[in-house]
Amino acid sequence: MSEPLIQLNNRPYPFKDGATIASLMAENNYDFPSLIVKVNGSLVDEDSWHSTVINVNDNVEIIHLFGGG
Amino acid sequence: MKKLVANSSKCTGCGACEIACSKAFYKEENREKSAIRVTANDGGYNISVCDQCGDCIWMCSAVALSQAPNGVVRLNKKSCVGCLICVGECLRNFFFYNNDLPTPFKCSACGICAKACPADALSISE
Amino acid sequence: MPENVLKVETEYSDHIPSREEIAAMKAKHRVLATYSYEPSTIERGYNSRSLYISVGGDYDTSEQDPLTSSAKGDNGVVIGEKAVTDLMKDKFTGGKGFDLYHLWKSVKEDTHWNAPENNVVISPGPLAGITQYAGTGKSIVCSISPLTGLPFDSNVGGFFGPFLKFSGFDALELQGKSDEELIIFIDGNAHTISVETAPDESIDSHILCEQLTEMYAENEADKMNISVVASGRAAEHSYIGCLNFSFFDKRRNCVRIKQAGRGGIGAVFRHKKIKAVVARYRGVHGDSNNPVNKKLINDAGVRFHKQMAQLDTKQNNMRKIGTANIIEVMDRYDLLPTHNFQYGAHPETPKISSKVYIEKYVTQNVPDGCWYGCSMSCAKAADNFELRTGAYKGSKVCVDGPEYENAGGLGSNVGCFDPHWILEANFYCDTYGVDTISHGTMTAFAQECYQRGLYNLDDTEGLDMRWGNGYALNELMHQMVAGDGFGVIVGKGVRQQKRIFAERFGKVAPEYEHMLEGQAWQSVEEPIIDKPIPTAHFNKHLVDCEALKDFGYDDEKVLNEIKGTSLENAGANNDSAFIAHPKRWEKIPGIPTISREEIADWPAGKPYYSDDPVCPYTNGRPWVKMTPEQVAEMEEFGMENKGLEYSEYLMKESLAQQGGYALCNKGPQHDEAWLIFMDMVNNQIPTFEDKAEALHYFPMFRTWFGLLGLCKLPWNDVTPVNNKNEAEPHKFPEHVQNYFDIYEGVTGFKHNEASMVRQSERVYTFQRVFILRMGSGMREHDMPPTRSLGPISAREYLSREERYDEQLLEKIGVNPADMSTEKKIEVIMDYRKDQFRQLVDAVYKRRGWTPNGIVKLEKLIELEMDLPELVRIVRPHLKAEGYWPSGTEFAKYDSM
Repeated sequence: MSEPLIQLNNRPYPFKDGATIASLMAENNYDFPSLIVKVNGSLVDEDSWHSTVINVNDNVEIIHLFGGG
Repeated sequence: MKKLVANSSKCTGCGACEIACSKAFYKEENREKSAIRVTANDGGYNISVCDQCGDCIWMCSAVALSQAPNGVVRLNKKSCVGCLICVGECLRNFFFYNNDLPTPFKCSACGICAKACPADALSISE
Repeated sequence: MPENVLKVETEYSDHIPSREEIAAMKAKHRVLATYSYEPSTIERGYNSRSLYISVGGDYDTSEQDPLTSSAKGDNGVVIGEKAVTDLMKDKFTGGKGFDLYHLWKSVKEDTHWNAPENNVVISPGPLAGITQYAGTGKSIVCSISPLTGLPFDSNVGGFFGPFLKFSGFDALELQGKSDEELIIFIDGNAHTISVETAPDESIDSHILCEQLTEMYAENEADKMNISVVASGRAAEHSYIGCLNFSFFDKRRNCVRIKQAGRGGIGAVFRHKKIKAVVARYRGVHGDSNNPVNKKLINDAGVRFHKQMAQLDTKQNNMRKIGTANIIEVMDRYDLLPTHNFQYGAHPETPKISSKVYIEKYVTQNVPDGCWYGCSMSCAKAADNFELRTGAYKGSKVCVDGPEYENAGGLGSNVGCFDPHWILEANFYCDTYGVDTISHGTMTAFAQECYQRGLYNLDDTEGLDMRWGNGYALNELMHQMVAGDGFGVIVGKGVRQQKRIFAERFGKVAPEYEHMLEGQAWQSVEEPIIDKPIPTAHFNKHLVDCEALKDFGYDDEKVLNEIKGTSLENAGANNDSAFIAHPKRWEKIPGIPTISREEIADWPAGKPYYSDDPVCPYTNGRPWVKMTPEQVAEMEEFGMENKGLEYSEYLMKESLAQQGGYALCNKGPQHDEAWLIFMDMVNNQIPTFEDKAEALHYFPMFRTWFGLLGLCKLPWNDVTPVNNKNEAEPHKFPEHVQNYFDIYEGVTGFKHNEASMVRQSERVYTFQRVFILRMGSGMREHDMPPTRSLGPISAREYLSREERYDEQLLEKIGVNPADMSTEKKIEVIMDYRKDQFRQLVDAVYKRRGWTPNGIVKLEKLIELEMDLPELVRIVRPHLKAEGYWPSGTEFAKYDSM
C-alpha cells in the first residue's frame, strides 16, 4: 500500500493523522507574518489554523507574501 | 486639558454644529469642511470630534503638529505639506481632509459649535 | 499608543560645525560660474527641461542634446539647460529613462568610467515630490560604473530629487572633470545655480552634509529645505563608491542620509572632484506637481496611510525596524547568505536579529521617512553610537541603518555576528561613501580566499581575514581612505580581486618557504582564538602567547604557530584578538623586480617582486603566481556577475532567482526580481514558462517605479486586509490600483497593467541594447558563478545533505547511496547548470530576444523603440545570428 499523501504547495507531502494547518506550519517552520492559507481552494482564516484538520489528498496552499527588499 | 466634549445621547441630528464650524473656518456651509461630524446611528446620532489625544503627532512628516500647553493639538499650516499622514494615523477618523483645501483639519476646541448647539450636547472642558 | 517623540537627545556636537567655522569655509569659495534661470510651472509632473553642468575638461559633446541656454565660467565650467522633449516623455518617461537617454548620448563605446565624458545623471520622475502617498521622493542615478564598465542605474531615497524638480529641472547631468574640489549650489527659490571651489569642507558625508546644510540654510527652520548629494574619501580609492543624499531630521536636529548605493557611481563623482551638489527649495506642498486630479492622489494617500496605521505592527514592523525585520526570517527559511553564500543560516544569527537592534541600538518611535508623506517610514537610525575605530574613533554618531542588506552583507555573509561591528561598518560605508552590499560581498570573497589558503597574513600585512573579524571589516575601509594597504585591493571589487590575487598572490616560492617559520602564519579553517580575553589585557602585546594559556588556549599546535607574533587586541568588549604583525621579509638579492605588464607572461613558479604602482604596497615577499587550478577555483565562488557583487539573498535553491540575478541588466541586484518565496516556498512558478513569465512581469513592474520617482516598498511591504481574496495576491492589486490612481492624478493618463508594463519595458529594452553597445548584453555575460547555482564544495553539500540527496533521487532519478560526495556534487551541478540553460532559453524567448540574448527587431518595433541608434546596435548581431527579418516592411531598417 502506498504512503498516504496530501499536496502542500503543489508538491506531494506525507499525510499524518490529526494534522492541522498549524501543525503543518510548525513542521515546515512556516512562521512568516504574511501568509495566505487555502485548503482545496478555500481560504482558511488565521483563527481557524489550529482547528482545521487536514485530510488525505487535501490540496493545501500556504502562500508567503514576500516580495523582497 | 482643553477639548470639546460631546454627549451623543442628547444629539438631535440638526447639524447646526457642522454648519457653524465650516462657516467659521472656511466661510461655507458645508459639512465636508466641518471638524465635527454627526452621523445617524442605531436610532440615534453619533458625534465624532477630536479629543486631543495626540496620537497623530509623532508621525507628522513635516513636524507640523504639536500639543499646546492647554492640551489642544494644533496643526501649523505654514509648515504643513499636505501629506495627510495625520488623517490616516487617526484610526477614529477625527482628522479630516478635503480636496479643495491644501491642508487637513481637525477640531481646535474653539467652542463655536457648542454655542450653536440647541440641544446642549456640546461643551468645552478646560 | 506610541509615545509622542518630539525630540531625540543627541550628542553630535563634535561634528556639527559652528557658524564661524562655516563662514570661514564659505569665504574660501571661489565662484567659477553662475547661472540664472526663469522659474517654470510644473505641468503634469514635468518642468520639461533639465539642468546640465560640466565641471571642466576636454571631450566631445557633439552627440548630446543642445543647450537651449547656458553660461560659461572659469576652468571650463558650463551651466546650461536642455529641453525635455515629447519623445523623451513618451518613450523614456523620466527617472532612469531620462538618465539613460542622456548617458547614451554622452558616451562612446570605449568610454571608461573615469573619462571626462562619463556623465552622472540624476532624475526623479513625474510622480516624485507628491506628498500624499508613501515613497514618492526617489531618484535614479546613472553613470558608467567602474565595476562593470556598463551603464548602471542606482536607486536612492528623497529629498534631493523633489527639490531638484521643484527648483525647475527634470534631471541633472554632471559631466567633465575638475582639477579643483567643487560644490554646486542650486537655489530653487532664487532660481540661481553656482559652481564654486570648496577647498576646506570635509569630503566624508556625515560631516560635509552638516556643513553644507548649515552653510546654505538661511536659518534653522530652513534646514529642512536643504538636500546634499555627497560621497566620501573611500570612493577615491575603490570602485564601490556610493552617493549619499541627505535630508534634515528635525526630530534629531541632525542630517540623515540615504544612499544611491550600488554600482560605484560615487567613485565617478569623486573622480570628477565634485564634493557635493546642494539643492535648496522652500515651499513644498501637495500641489507642487500641479496635478490634474488631486482627489485621486489624496484619496489613495489616505487609504494607504490608514493601512500603515492599522496593520504595520501586525505585519512587517517597517516603522519600528524597517527592512531589518527580515534578518531572522531569512535565517529560518535558509536564505540568509552566510560565509560568502555557502549557507543560508547560522546558529549565531539571533545575536544580530532585529530584536537585538530594537532593544539595544535603534532609537524607537521616531518616524523618519525619506520624503514627506511616507507613512511606511522605514529609515532607521542608531543614535549616539560610539565608534571604536577609524578617522572618527571615539565620536558619537547617528548610524543610518541597519537595513536588511547591511545586517546580511556586513553580518552573516562575512561571518560577523557582533551587532556593533555591523553598525560601525554601516556607518563608515556611508560616511566614507562606499556601497554596503558590495563591501559585504567582496569582503566575504576575500575572506573565503584567505580561509582556503590562497593568500595569507603576510600578504595582508597582518590583517586577519578570517570569518567574523569585524575589526577587519572596518579596517579595510580605513585603508581605502588612506589609499594604502590590503583594503585598496579588496575595494576594487570581486572581479578585480580575482585578477589581482591571480597575478599577485599564490604560494611563496617553494625555495623560500622555510622563511615562514616564526614569521607569519598560514590561515587555518577554524578560528584560532575564539574565547574571550578579559578587558584588562586589551592593547597589550601578547608577544610570546604564553599568556593565552591563562585564558584557556592550550592548543599547543596553535600556540606554536603564532609564537613570535605580536597580537593586538582590537576589541572593546570580550572579543578575541585578531591582529598579528608578522615581521617583514628582508628583500632577497637576485630575485628580479618586474612591472605589472610583465606579470602576465612571467613563467609560473619563477619568483619575482612587483613594482606595481597601482597596488603600491609590497612586503618584500617573493611571489609566485597562483596555479590555474586556484584561479579556476576563485571563478566558482566569486559572487559577481558583469562585475557587480551579488546582493544579500541566498539564491542557490531558487532557479527563478538565479535568473533574476544573472539576467539583470546592471548586474546581480535584486531590484529587478525577487522571486525566491514564490519559487521555492510557494511553488507558484513550477515550469520554465511560469518562471519566464515571472521574469518578464516582475522586472518590468519593479523597474516601473524607477521611472516615476517611487519607492517599491509600499507596494508589497504591507498587505491589505483583502489581499488574500485576490486572484493574484503576489501582485498586490489594491496597491497597484493606488499607483494607477496617483499616476492618473498627476499626469491625467489612465494606466492598466499592460500599459504600465509597456512603459517600463521600453526603458528596460533600451538598457539592454545600451549594455550591448558597451560590450556586454549577450548570453555569455548572463552566466552566473557556479556557486549561485548550487553546492560546489563538500562543506556546502554536506551541510544540507538530506535535501540534496533527496533532490538527486526525486528530481534527477539518481540513487545517492554508494556515491561519493564529489560525484554527487558533479551530478547535481550538471543538472543545475542544465536547468539554468533551459531557463535562460525560456526567458529570452518570452522577452522577444534571440537565444543569444539580443533584442529582436520585431520587439523594438512592437515597443516603438525602433530608433536608429538602437537598430544600428542590434543589426549586425541579428544578421550574424540569422534573426534579421526579411520582408518589405523591414526594408527601411537595413539603411538606418
